[in-house]
Amino acid sequence: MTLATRPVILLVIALGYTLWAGALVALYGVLSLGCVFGWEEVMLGPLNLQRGLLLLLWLLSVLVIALLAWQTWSWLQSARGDRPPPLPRFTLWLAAACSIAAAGATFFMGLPILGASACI
Amino acid sequence: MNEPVRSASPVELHHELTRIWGANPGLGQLAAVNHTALGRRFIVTAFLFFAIGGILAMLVRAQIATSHSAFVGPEIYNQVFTMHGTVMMFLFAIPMFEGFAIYLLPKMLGTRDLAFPRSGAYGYWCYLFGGSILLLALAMGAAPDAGWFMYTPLSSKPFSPGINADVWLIGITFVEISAISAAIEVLVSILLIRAPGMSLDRMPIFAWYMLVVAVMILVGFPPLILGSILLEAERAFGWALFDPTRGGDSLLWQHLFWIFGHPEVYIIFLPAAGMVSTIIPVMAGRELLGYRWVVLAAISVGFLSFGLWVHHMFAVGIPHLALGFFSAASMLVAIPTGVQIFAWLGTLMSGRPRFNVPMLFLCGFFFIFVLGGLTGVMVAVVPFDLQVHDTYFVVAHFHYVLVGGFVFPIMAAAYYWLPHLTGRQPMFQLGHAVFWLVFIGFNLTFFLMHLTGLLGMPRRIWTYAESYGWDWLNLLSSIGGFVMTIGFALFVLDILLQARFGPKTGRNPWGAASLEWATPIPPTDYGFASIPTVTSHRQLADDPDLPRKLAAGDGLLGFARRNWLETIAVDMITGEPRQIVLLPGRTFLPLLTALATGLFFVSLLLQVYPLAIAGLVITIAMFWLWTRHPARTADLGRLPVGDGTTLPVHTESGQAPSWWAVVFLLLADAALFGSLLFGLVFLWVVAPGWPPPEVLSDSTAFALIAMACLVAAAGLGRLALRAARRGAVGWALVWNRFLAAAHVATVLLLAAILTTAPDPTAHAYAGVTVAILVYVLVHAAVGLILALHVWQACRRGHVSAARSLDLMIGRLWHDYTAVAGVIGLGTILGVAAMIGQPGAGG
Repeated sequence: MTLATRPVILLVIALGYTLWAGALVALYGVLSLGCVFGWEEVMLGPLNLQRGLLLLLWLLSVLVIALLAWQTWSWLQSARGDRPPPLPRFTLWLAAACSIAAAGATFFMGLPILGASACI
Repeated sequence: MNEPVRSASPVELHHELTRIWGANPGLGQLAAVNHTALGRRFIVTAFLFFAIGGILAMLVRAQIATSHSAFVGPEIYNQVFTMHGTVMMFLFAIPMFEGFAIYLLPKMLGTRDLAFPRSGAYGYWCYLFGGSILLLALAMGAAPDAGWFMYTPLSSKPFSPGINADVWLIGITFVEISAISAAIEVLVSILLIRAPGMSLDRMPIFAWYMLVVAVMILVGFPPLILGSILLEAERAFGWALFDPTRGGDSLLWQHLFWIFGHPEVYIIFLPAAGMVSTIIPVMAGRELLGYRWVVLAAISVGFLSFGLWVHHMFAVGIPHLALGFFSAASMLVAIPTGVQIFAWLGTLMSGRPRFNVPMLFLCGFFFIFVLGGLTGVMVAVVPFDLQVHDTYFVVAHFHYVLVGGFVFPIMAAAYYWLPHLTGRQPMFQLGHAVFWLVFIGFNLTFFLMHLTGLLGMPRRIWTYAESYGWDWLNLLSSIGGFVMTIGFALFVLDILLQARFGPKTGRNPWGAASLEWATPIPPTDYGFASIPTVTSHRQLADDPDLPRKLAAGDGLLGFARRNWLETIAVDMITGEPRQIVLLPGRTFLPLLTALATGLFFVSLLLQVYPLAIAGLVITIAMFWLWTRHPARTADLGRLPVGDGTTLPVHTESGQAPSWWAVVFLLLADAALFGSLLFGLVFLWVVAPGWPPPEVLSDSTAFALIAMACLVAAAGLGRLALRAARRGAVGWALVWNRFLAAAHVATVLLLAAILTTAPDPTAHAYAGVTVAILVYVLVHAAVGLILALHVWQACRRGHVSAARSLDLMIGRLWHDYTAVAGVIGLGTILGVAAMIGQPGAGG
């Protein structure tokens, strides 16, 4: 456990949702840029450049936040032994729960990429 | 150092602490800075604004009760509905929960005051004066009249040529100083100023909610402040920012407004939810079910609410996929909201609820807020939203959310904490009548509005034809509105009767477990005669004799030492005691500073700019006077706190509350700066009329040197701090002089660039570019002021190896200025280079 030391743990609690917010802004920004610069017209195999970039960005965001969730969950698990944890379990639980919730939110938020029209 | 001598008796201790913490009588009350006095003032003033907003609502309902009404004309009607929304959102809801937070938090956290009493007082006066500007304009018939969200181009100069829109932009910005200062104060206080032993998992649930809300204010309000500054610059100086004929875009205003505006709904709801989470366990006679899940839900709502802003803009022509992102986020926020609702219901179901007046209002909250939430999910669905957009359905929805989610919990809170505020019990059972009048009146008014909206009645129209068939619905809504008003009038009567004639209450009349009921009732100026050590989540339930022990001085700091106003700061995670915080006492400085700030804002409104500059200079001079402090002239070392423990005073500690305050101020600053950069990119990509006819040129060298100066200033700030920590104050002074010189150079260089910058009235590109330059220049100028302050502190012997707080705060500012300056100037140079290329543009 390296990151889970005080008071950085407060930042870790906020990190998952901060990454979610970053993913939302990035997806919205890339979509806007793609529509302006005509990325929908550039085909990359079965996908156009616009949708390919959005898919990549979305999945990458989900992956990064999921990794954070996995890491914070492992901190929580390692604090279940007999030794007193380096931080109150409550804060470790909160960090893990916020990260997991943020990963789920990022996944759900990006689902429209699979279907909705991009620039209409 | 020896333990200080304790007072001979609890009564003597009370008198000594009252002398130190209390305000003088008469006009001396204006110098009060303690949280109890300020909290009461916020609550009473906010309620007065609520009454004014309510009267305005009655005027609206009177006008549209029937078709072809001639009660008021369209000009007055526009002012009335604009001011109703503005007053309720900015002058009632936010200050009301701030008032409750300021009054309750120190007591709940088991401490004597908030971290920055003068800042709280300054915020109150800014709120009062800013709100008064708006009311004065209303009385003079020059109130804002473009809707509470001031959409451009309606609020732009060609379509709103009078002073009305300026009153909104300047008055509300003035009021927002209060929100920002309260947010910083609340945030630092919750994190640091708690009773020893109160770790994060032992914090009262209301504190968790307010922690989330404070962060939301710091991130959510700056975009609106920026938007207001830019729109006022367009209106007053003709800058091109929202004008599509000059490279601007009205949608930029909508983005900036709703990045603030949607979180604002949750900024209002979450404190109320915190009160609900506090009251329900007491009424149910058991602990809150799922404490940590409720904390998780509050944090989740806080974040997710920032992803919803575009759902207010579904009808402006945004691509379907983008609508999908925001629609998904709008649905997601229902999940943590539902978690809270089920936690409250579960608490009630597993307890033995008492059905008294606070509980009645909580039941009303459940019914109304859940209905508002359901219609919220409906309008989050894009096709449905397009059908009901800008109709009375939306008016009904947000009143169900805001009145259900804020007013009903606040009424419950008022009845719950009134014995604490007044020390008296209710006389009659008027509260029941109040509830039923307000509940029935509210539903009659607003439930029918769903139908009025589905029948197609648009918002904000001042009259309508009989043939539309809206008459009976509107008439019933208006009758409901007046029934509700009678209920609120009865509420005022009930409160006054209780406060004046109610029988005295004993301590902890509800049998609560939280620490605010461990103070004397009504509370004293110092709150706790001594500070408790917290060992559980339900300290008062575990130790019912705690109030007597604390009053007898058996806790920490149970003495009056050197006329100091002392409290304790703790480790923000574990709650271990870390510092003694010495707070400032009664002073007129906040009032005088707010008056000077008011001079600045009123002069801006009247466009008397020399006077505005004078107001600004006086405000800065006043703030300079705030820096006097009793613990600045000598090292005090570790001082005893009462149980054998010794702690350093905050001026000799690593990360004092004021250091954290600057950290959070810079968070808000960064949100404003980010919004400015977003504005540039948005206009470049989306707005018509790009590329601009002229870009910044011949300024690259000056900009690069300015960036180097900013980085050098940051480095010099670090060297000065390092020298001070070694005790080499002379060297600190030397590095500080170079630092000041670097900031002077930056100011001069940026001023030189501004003289050659493109005309901001010609194109939005120039407007945003100049705004970024001014932003960096102002930060360098503030850095210079901080350097001058450090110089004075060193010269007067206020800096030593132990006392380097001024330099630490300065380092934070210089570091931020360097980063923001490099990003800002780099962006300007990059955009100019790219736009300068043939074929670039939006």
